[in-house]
Amino acid sequence: MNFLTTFENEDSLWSVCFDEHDGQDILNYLFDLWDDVEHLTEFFESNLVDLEEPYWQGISIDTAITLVQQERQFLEDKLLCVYYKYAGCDNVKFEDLFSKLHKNEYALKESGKKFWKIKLDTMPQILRLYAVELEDCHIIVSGAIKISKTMDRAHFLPVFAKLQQVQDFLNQEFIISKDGLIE
Amino acid sequence: MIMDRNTIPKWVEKATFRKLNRKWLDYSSQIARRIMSEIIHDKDNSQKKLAEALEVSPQMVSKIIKGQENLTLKSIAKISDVLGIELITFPKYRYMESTLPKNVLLKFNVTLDFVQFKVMDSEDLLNLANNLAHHTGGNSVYIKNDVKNEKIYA
Repeated sequence: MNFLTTFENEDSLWSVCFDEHDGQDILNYLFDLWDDVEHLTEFFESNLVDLEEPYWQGISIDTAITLVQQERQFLEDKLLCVYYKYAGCDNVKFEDLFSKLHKNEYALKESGKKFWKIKLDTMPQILRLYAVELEDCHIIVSGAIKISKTMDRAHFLPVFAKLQQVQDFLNQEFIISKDGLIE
Repeated sequence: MIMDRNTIPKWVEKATFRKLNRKWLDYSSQIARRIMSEIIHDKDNSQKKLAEALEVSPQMVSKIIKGQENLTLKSIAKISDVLGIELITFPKYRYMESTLPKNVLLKFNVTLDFVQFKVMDSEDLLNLANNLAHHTGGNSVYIKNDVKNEKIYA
């Protein structure tokens, strides 16, 4: 199992590289997936019953695709800001970028100004990242489009499997901090 | 277990590309969504048909439906023909507006020709009102029937 730092010369955020994704880091894999219209269309077609819940106010598949792509864009822009150390993005910590919703589950921290161009101010955030927290860093393990209130849908099974896989690996190798990730 | 501190993460390269090319990628996404809505229930066959019509590889068609391809207008037109749907529409612009000032009231007095006249029923009158509205650039049109004291709006 390989790990990659998200930011050059800054070790607070890491990504796992899984063999099943041809060794690419999970963050890159997720960004590609959340940009892929073919994948998004098939995902929402398969999970239409969740979109029809009052929680989503009956939004269309088209709007749902737009929500995912816009939230992904905003997340990428935030991370690029940190990576390139643009003004206002110096010394940004993981907690500044992400809100912890539940154990291992994180969402992008909203700025004061909503990031959606479409005016759906009451819409909940749709993307989730799942990370393992060590003493001094976080490791992104997986991600998901969350359109159901609970995590009992089939598309969450790989998320749990990956979290377990990484946690088992870290336990076996006695890795509790980023020093353990450095060869 | 390998840690690599010096390689630039792939996500940076791709995220930067997406940021710099956001506008046309948004167009590509919009077109891809419309293509997917037409082919989703018979995707494999439809992708083959599209590849043949566009004379491109299946991999190229795959990029198109992912919303990652910078399509030419010619390709968009061909896809539109194959699928039998419009993929792009154009917003109204100023040369589409009527040349008549908006506040001009046009009043047509219709008189009966003694030699040739037609009894118009309400459907005929509605069609006439619609035709007049079209020719006046969407201005409000109604036909007033003084006999019945009623107005038929387009």
